[in-house]
Amino acid sequence: MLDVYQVESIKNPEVLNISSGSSLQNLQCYSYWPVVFQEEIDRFIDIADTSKSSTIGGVIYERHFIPRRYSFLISKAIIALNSMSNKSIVSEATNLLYIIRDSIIYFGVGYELSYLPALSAFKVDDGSVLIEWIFDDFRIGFSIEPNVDESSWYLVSNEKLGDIGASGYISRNNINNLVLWLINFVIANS
Amino acid sequence: MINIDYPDNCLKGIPNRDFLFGDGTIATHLFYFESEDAREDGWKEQSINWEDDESAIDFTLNQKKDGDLQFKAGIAILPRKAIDRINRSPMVNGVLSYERKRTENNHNPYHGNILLKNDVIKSKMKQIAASLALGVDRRQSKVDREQIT
Repeated sequence: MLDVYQVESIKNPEVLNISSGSSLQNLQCYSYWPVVFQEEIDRFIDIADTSKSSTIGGVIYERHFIPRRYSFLISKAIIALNSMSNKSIVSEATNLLYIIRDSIIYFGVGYELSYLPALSAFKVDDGSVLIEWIFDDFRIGFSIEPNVDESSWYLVSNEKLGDIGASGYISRNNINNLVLWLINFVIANS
Repeated sequence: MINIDYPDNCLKGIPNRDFLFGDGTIATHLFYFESEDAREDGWKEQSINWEDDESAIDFTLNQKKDGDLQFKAGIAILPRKAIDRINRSPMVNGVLSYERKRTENNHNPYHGNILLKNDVIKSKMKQIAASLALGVDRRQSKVDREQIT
């Protein structure tokens, strides 16, 4: 069940005040979160009932709005996905992005990973969605296909990292292990 | 692969910014091979131009389709050495190639194709496309070009 929050104000870059029902909560934020906030607020105000707020406006759904650490990695991709029409592919791709984000939260304990680049999502003419994560010396991609059994991933690197070329199919059974393995590679080589 | 008849770079047109990251980096799907481009000789083709001379970049940037610029987001410049290196890797192992193929009426003397074997499965094709995108040396747009000249 989704909790509904109402934005009251952003008093400073570090603290966002939100209210749930009548109780006001302060949410401590990492210094880079507000950038994500603005994008997420912009998007969700569009779909929200703006009559509910006189300040910033809008009813925001928790899963999308309550920013978790590293949400900045996936926010642009999620915004791009939400402009696409094939809802089943969008749903698969969105879930994958949350798995990546949550795996980074889990795996990144003790690391400072705010330097990581954001993932991007692209609509492709063949009906698939490409989620890509690029670095100077390698890139990781996930292709979410109309036939979900054909969805695949890849990791490729340049000569500096040994011309790695790896790919495979994505399945619900292996996705968590796959993502953790890829994140391990990212942390080791970025 | 020894290709003394080919220049150092090929030029891949970018139809629009849907093929770019926000910072202008090339996204992998620019280099996808499409099923409808499969040929009877066992290869799928994707069009490129060869940078045979100094005019090739301007020629490519000014190519038109239905009266409009065909490559509104510019071109990706891909060294031929990168294609060769990808093709030599164990996971690719010779399923890539390239050719020079001038268009009918010789309207485009620079035209050629990057080729991929027809029997390469889609997931592998996308991995290879990612390697090609990673191998891109730089992007050049018409605006960039005009500032240079």
